[in-house]
Amino acid sequence: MTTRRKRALKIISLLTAMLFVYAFLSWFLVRTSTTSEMHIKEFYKEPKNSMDIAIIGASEMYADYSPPLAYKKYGFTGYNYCMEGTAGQLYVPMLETYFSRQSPQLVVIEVNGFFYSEEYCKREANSRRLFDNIPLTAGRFGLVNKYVEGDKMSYYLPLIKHHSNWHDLSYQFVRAKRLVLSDFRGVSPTKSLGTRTTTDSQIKKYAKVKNPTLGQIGKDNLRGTIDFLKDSGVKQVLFIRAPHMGRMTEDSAKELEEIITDNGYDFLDCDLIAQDVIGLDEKTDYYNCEHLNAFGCEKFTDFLGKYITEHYQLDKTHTEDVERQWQESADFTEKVFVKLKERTLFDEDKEYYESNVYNLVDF
Amino acid sequence: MTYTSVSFLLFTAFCLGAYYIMPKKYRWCVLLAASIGFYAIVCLKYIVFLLLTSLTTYAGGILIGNYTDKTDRLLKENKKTWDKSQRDSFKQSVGKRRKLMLSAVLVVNFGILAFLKYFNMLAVTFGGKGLALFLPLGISFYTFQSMGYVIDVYRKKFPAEKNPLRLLLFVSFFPQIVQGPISFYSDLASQLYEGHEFRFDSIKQGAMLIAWGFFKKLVIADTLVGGINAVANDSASHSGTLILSAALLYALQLYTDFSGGVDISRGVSQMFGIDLAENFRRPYFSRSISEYWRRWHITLGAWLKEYLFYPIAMSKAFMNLSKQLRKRFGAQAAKVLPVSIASLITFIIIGIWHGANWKYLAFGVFNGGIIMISTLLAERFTKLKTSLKISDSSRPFIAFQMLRTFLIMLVGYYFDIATDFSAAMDMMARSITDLHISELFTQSYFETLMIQPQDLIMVAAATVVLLIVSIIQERSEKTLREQICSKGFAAESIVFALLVFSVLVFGHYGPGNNPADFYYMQF
Repeated sequence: MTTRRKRALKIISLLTAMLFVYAFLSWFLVRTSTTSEMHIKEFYKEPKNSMDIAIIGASEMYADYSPPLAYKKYGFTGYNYCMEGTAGQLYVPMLETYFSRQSPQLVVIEVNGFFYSEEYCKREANSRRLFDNIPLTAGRFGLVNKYVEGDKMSYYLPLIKHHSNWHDLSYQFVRAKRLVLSDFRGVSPTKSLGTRTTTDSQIKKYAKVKNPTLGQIGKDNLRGTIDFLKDSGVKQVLFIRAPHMGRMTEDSAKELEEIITDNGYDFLDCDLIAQDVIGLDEKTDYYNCEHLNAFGCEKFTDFLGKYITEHYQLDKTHTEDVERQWQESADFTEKVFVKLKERTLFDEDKEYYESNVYNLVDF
Repeated sequence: MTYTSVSFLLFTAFCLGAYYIMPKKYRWCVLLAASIGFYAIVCLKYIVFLLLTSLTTYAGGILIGNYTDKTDRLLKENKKTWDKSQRDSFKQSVGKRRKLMLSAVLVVNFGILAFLKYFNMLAVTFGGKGLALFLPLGISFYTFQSMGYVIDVYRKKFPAEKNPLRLLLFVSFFPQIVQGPISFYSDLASQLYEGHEFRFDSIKQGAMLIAWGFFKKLVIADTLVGGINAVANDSASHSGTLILSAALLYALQLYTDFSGGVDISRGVSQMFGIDLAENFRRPYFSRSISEYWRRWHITLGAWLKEYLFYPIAMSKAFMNLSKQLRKRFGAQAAKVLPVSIASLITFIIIGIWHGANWKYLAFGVFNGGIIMISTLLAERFTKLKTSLKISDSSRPFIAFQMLRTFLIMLVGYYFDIATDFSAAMDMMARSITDLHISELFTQSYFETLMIQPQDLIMVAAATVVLLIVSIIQERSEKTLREQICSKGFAAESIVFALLVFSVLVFGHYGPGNNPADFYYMQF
């Protein structure tokens, strides 16, 4: 071998080794939020084209709605592609990523993301939760290029943003363990879940009920989302306001509904029917004014599952593998909910999410 | 596009590719395009100052050079026909005109620098109003470098550069434009214009030096700079413990910031096959202040020695002073005093160069004064050492000298970090009278210094690495990079990878952690 070849080989070996170390550090040091990280990453483990519906939104949906429980009763599949505090401008990239792997017959969009202020929407942490958790192989670069404004370099090379997390190595080790274990377990059994074992009556700090209003940024984001859905040829879309104790202001509710229905899509304000139709009790079914606990989640899942079945045409045929996997998920989730409800009754007041519900039930 | 940005690295990689692809004859054109491009990207609106300096430098060099050639030729031709008085009169008149030409170039260029840098300070001092002035990037460095060239042409060290574009490259060479090192034309020009062969060793060692520069700048200097500024800018509300901590950290921060930046400059240049002058030689190992200044910002010291100190010390006025002193006070005074005064003047200039603030004048007077006193008392110190039987080579004495030098420099640093002269004096006083060791272990101590305890441990570890590297370098003629590279590919790969990943993980950069500008960039 000539000297030049030997040298080239050595350099390639060095660069390859450094690339591996870099990739490991990028993976190890990234830190967004536990729930968003789990919910986004787990989505990519789901078999392609296995979802009948798409659920896009924020924590309201993964606290209030359980896809495996809906499957058990109504037979359709779906995934809570939701992150905490999702701002409205992220709905389009979320939909795009969902559509890149799934062909849902119905899209359910929770509207809370349209009520955030402009200042909140511009916070970097919002887009970090989504884009930093999308795998490279799922076209992260393209999405960043398309949707991130300003500095993109730190999205392409996440270590630029996250390297200072070495300060809290203990957390990073816990996170790494969680991700590795989750990879060994395979697909998500609860299809993204985040809840708390208490009732709102026990919580004082969340007592302040907010009445959201629709600002200009929210309207723009809503219109952008609708345009995207239309361009994507999606026919069946249900915008919902998940049950909150704080109702939308009358003007905002009216304007929101007008924008949605004028474009040919449906809108359902669950705040108005929370007690009478869904049967939610503010004292026992909420863990705070914006989220339902396990009791509330069962009721709302039942309501929404029935509503979807009655109002939309869904072809619920799945492959055998998908059916088996969803049946396992449903059985597991049922057991989880038994435990969650028990603990809520005892007011344990702990947070449970996708990666720690295994502590409740053997899987 | 700062030297520590990803865009600068990509820019450099692109220029390197273009440089080595280009035929040798035209490689300098790539460097010129890169240098002008870099300056335009970083501060396009100030490029006119760079071009003005280049133009006046070129014109001055050509005028002086041509006039010198012409008059020398004339003198040679008339060597036999002119008598001595005619020749002397001709030489005198030529000398005057050459001086006039040189003075014009110096006045224009140093005038621009002085006006932009000092007008506001003087206006405010004398009760006037300041103007919205700005300092073009690297103006001090390229002005000094180009004026050195004109003076050398005047001194007939080399002929004037005929190609204005080549001279523009000498003035604007992008790896050194931000903060030097200040190069002599005789050292740098031929390297710039020569098309260098691609050498893997140059690339390798350059990359290693760049990584080391990044390590010093991003891992150490930038981690500390926020806290130092926070304490120094509001020194009145902080304890002596914090002020002393800030001053000590500043000694580390300033060195790693400046030398780190210069390492990057030298590393980038080395990749093009160009060796820039060394600017630092472990200054904190100095045993005296004069040695410190021979190890710190070496190229500025060399420039000032060449173009300021020697001309002053060898001037007619100083020669006359020396004669007078010899008559009245003996040979020792005649030898030492003029040199001391020339040193003092040089250090006052260094002080003023550091910034438009009276505290920098105090900094210059302090350093110059210390050196003056040391020079004047040198003989007595030697006698004292002999009587106390202290050997210069004894380790405890060397350690004592290093510590003493460091502490004296530390006093000088107070002038640097304080907002003004009186704040500097107050900070020094409180660093002695208001010390509370217990404060070192409180949370507010770390909060004020804007670092977490983990950062401090990391900086301490990085400083130990820096110290070990410095000791190894101090003991060897070879650079550490050469030593590492001689150990084989595995060793150099491990060192390089460790440096790169230390920077990537522990470096102070990225969103929310914007790297600070290089300290000397403001000059």
